Amino acid sequence: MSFNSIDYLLFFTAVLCGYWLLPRRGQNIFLLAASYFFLCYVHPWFGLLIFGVSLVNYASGLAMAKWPARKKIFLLLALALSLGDLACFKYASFFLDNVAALLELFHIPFSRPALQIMLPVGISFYTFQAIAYTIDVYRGNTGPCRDPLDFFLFISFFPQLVAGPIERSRNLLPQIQNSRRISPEQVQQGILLLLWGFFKKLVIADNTGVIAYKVFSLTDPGFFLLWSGVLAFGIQILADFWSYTDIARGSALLMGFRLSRNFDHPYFSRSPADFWRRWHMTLSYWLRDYVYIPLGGSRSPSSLRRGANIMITFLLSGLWHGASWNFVLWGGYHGVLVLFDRLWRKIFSPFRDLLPARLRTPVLVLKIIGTFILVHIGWLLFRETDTGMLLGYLQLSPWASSPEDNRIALYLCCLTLLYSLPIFLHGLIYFQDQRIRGLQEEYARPLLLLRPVLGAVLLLGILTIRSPEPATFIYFQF
Amino acid sequence: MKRLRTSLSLLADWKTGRWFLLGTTLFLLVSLATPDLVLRLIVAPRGDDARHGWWMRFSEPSRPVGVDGYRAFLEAAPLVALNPDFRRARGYMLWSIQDDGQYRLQFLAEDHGTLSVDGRLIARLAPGHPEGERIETWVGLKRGPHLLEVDLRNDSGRGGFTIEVVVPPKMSTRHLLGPDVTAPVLTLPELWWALMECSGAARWIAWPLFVLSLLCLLLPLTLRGRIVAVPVTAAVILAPALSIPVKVEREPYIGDMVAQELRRENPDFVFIGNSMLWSRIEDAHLEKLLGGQKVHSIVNFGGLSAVHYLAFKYLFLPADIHPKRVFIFFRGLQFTFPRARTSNDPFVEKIIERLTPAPDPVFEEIVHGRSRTLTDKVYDGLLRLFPVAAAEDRVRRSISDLAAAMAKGWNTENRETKKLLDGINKRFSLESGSLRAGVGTESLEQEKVDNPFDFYGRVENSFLPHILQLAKEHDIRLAFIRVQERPPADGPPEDPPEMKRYMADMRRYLEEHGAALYDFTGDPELPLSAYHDGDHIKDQKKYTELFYRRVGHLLK
Repeated sequence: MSFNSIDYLLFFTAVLCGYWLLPRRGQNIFLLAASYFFLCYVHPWFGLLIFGVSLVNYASGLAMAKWPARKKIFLLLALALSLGDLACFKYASFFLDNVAALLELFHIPFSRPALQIMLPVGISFYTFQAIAYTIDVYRGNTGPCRDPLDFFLFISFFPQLVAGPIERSRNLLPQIQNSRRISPEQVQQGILLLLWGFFKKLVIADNTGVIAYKVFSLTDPGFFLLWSGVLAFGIQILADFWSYTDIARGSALLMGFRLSRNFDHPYFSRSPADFWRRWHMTLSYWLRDYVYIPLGGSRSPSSLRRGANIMITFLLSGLWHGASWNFVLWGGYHGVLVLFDRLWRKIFSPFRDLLPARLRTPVLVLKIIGTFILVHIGWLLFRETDTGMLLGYLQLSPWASSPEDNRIALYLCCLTLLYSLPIFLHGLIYFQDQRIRGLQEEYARPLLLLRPVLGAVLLLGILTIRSPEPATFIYFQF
Repeated sequence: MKRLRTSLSLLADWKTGRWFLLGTTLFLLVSLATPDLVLRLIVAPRGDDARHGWWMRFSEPSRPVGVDGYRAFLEAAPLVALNPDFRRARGYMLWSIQDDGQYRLQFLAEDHGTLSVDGRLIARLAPGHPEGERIETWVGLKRGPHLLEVDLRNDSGRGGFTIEVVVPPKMSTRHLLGPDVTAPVLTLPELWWALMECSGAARWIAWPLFVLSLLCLLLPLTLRGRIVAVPVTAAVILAPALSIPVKVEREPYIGDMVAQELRRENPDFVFIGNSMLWSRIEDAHLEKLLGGQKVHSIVNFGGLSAVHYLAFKYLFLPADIHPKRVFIFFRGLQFTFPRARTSNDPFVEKIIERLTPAPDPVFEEIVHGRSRTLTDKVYDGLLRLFPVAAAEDRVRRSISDLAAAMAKGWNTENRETKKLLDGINKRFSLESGSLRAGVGTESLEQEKVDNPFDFYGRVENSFLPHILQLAKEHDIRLAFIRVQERPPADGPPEDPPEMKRYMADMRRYLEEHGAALYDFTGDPELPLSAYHDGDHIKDQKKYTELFYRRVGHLLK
């Protein structure tokens, strides 16, 4: 069930009404049933799959607590089964394609089995959430959850089931285990998050998505036209994914749960490394805690090893996004950017204090613009799955672009900027407020007074500027 | 009292109060600027000539005309003469009154129309009024600015209008922003206020927004922590969307014009279809092959079975001609997916409006009636609940125009914008020939069904029986042509068994109802090299010849 459908609106209204009529235990049973309904609405077999992943990790958590001496075996077993599940459903076709291509290279006959595997919705998200729990239990960072109902709900909680945020057990499990309360402020905040989420999806993401689609439909876009499409795609993917998180957080908040933030205005990042602290934050932290640090992180003695750790982490991040080489390339590109960023900082940090105070803001703005451009080069790798077309795009010359294409590109850039203006305004207000107060909690104070008015404006925007061509969430495919 | 004191102390506190001040200022400005924004961003960019103080806005002309055909010009001081190609025009002018008093207005429109002052209807000239008839009326007006609005219809090809202020003739204007916009001599705050006061519909947006803004800024302070804050918040959020009225105008019906053309040509064969037909049949070439017999194609880009039905009923049948045969081109399963491409696409929705003088009952029944799922009905109901949703098209067009103006260096001239948008449409159109394979061709969209190949199970809830019934009633011979979809590189495509069964059922059904069917699928003369992009054919002439050879028996 997609958040941007009437089905979800009806479903959520019904769930919300039923939910607050029940006691805590009843609420959890009801939410678990609703979550499985939410997932099985797409395909009944998806429920079985998440049940299997939940069961394996639940059992391994209990087993590790009961037989601590053998906890490594249980951890490996849980990892093998969970990741095996992910590999089978998400990467089997990709793997076979590549094996076939490799064998063909050496003229070895290979009959590739025709797999017709449907990618289960949200598999990458809930598998990572389950694995994080098991590793935390193994490390002793958290105790095992003994109540199967609570644990199964932790894995399948419907607002964040399909596209995150990837929750840690220490944040979500205690909220499931304890009774929830809700204040009028939370309701206001939840409603505003929902409206802001729907606005970002239906108005910003879907409208800029049409622009990106049009440009990437062309066989021969000029240099500037192509990059206007990339800009549109950059805005689309941010608004699309961020909107999902906000709708998830808003829905959860109306039920008394606080989910983690997943975005912190990533297009205001000052460096590629900063971008990853602001973009899909829960995945970044997951990769940091469960891949990068176990590999040795930045404490490895050799700089080569430290670089390799970064590259491995980013290549995995790319592969997590999709079973295709362009995603791996995208991950690798960001890995290289982060490495360069580190090198840059190492060279220039001694001179940082020499910068006159009056130049700090212009330099900061330049850094933000530079990072924005670098990130958008990455989006081209992310968006274009056809390697031939991608190579052609990278060879385009700005001098060879036709004046007609340039005019169209300028128009599309203006249109994209108009649609994305609320996101940038929101960012500016947010940072201004953070600067003054040092507030961390989004939407807490600054919007308190303006909430109902903003809500009315957002609703008007949704009703009058929503795209006539609604699209599914991009991150559903991951 | 205690709560009020708390609220006031919160306001006095800079940390919370500054947001209140910021919010109040912002929304005060937005409220005051709303009418101005409406006039500048919506009305003025649509005006073709505002040099003389009039913002003119034209609806679609009754037939395609060049950009020059939209121009309005001033012949004599009070007379605005318009090009006869417009179908409807609206003009706005700010009129500054120096003294309170009774003013005598004379209104003359060469065709028919209305004159309003500050949203009040002052004079109406009915259709068919005697030539030279003028309405004379007295209006009591206060000192200050007032908005004159003329709404003209042009059915007869004459399009001028005159407004004469008899006593006292006091109208003063000055240039506000260069030569394009004129307004009374007022300071900027006065102008804001004046526009809000006299701008008719915009006033209904501005005032509630202003009042609501103040309320909304105060309410959270006084209601902090109280449960009543929740319904109040909900009410504040919903109120503007529920209460802002938006009038939607239908696209002009083109049936009479097409019927006239059909009657004049009196063709021997009529073709109905979408871009599949457009990329395949060249009328002139087919006429040559047919030895001078007349051919006429009715092409509606992007239309599927619903549009074909409407085109047959409202474009072809009103002509009351009897060609030897009417051919309808289609692809795959489209006749049993009647809702495909009927809504959620302004382009197709406009086509549908142009094809129908009023909502068609069969169309309404099939598209919005029994074949709608519960969620579709809820969605429609929600949209109906919020009248402001009807402004969607207008708002989106304004954003697009604003982007075009920005791209043109803030040039809001209508002609320039149109030129740019036409260029863009051409670049991304199928005719540009630069689209990737499979892009831009119609799909059956999200209409998911359990058994799509069950022809007999689905046909009764489609437009096909209605087309056949109409043909029978008017004694028209029909032929349906299924086009071949883009074939694979290694030879002609072959239908899967369920599709073969579907086509056999369709053939039987059509023949039972006296219509013919020809299926081009698997034709050896239509290899991949014959295709342009998607399912469109590269060479119209070649295909027309192939069509003549294959379907010759239906052309006799």
